[in-house]
Amino acid sequence: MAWRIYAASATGTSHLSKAIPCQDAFAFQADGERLVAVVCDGAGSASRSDQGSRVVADTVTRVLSERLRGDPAVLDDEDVFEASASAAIETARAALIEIADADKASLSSYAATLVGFAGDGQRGWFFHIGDGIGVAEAVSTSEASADEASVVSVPENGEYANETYFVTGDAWRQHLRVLAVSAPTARLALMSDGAMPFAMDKGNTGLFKPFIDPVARYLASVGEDDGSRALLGTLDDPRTHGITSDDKTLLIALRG
Amino acid sequence: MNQPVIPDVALVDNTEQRTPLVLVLDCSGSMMGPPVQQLNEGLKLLETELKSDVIAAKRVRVLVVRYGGFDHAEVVGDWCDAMDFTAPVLEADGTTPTGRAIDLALTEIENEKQRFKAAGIAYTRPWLFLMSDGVPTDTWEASAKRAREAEQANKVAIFPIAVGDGSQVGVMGQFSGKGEGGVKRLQGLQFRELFLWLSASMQVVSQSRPGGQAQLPSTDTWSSVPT
Repeated sequence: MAWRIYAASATGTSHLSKAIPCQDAFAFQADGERLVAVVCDGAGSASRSDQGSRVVADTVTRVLSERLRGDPAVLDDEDVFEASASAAIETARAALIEIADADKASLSSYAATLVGFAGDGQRGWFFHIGDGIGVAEAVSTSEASADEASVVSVPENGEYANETYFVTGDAWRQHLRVLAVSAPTARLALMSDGAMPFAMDKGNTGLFKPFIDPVARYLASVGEDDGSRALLGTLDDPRTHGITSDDKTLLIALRG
Repeated sequence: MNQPVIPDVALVDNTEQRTPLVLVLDCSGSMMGPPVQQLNEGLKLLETELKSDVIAAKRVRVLVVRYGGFDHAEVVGDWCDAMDFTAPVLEADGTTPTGRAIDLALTEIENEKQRFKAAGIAYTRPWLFLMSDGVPTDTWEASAKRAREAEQANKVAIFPIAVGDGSQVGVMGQFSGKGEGGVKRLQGLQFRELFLWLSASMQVVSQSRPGGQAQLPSTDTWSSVPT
């Protein structure tokens, strides 16, 4: 069974009105059952965070995919996986430090959060710094409802909802969290915090069914390109403007 | 490009995020007449403006603390979402127990945070608006220290507003972690402009996302404050 991956980023209205680029980014690589996917959200206050989120998403996805291809056993053990994820983030930070030096800018001006998933058909891991959210729904079985079978990697905020942590922060290792997904995943979602208000249910316990069910049903019926374009249309729907003025990114991977 | 559309998708806001706003308003005798009238008109304007913004109406939590009488501070109504806020009609009389009022406001803020935590509701830094047209008549120094420390510990953002010639920026500044530099002197009785600014600022802050610095609407020295 292979993954089908659909993803889109919609620029928030507050960015459009101030002519700020979309600061979200996503990247993914699938190879048969193996999947690495990342969503990054650049900090609104950081001037080059669109570049930061792009570099982090691309670099982490590439490095971790290579690692997984070379040694699938990376997924077997939490410490081994965390070390691999750290190494991929370290590579992305090194790339940003180089760019920052060339631009004579500070690393923090590229501030971005990261939420990612790495796995194969049987199991996987979320890796996460800051906000955004990841949801893995298991293949539904007769005894467990979809809700019970969801694994959710939740955002980490400070005391206040508008404070979070970034890949570019000095304490990034302290804020890197990994979370095991031990059952085979049927439906995976990664999103930036702009998409959370309507894609997640109240209290962020799982995906909001009146949103995700029609979306997943539609995506399953079309190819990746058409599906991603339709997803962009939904994220850009004017009804979302009354909910958030932030950039909105959603990546959905369906298996089977 | 022809945009395909996904049919039947619900797009509703499931966020539970609040921005607490406490208005601590001097209703001492010196506010009697035009000042309190214009203050009441300003409050009414705040109500209308907050309700007209779909996001602010849901997210801003308002509480009014009135102080006056015989060194008396009291909560007028209860915490409510901006969409349910009805501006009270305040009356002016008595003294200026600024210390007692700020204590009450800080306690209310901490209690509200505890309720948010218990209910799993995310929140942004509370705003405390302290308006006075006079000098405190109670023993206010310890309360001012508590306010300064709370602001320095990032528990609250305090905006002292000095109204008229009777107020002293030096005293008001002691209620803010930013000192006198944090005090705004109201030009004449421009409560209308003040509350328009406050409403516009609340619209920005209640929507703010991580990593952002709220770009507040500018009125001279208040161009930007961290959220």
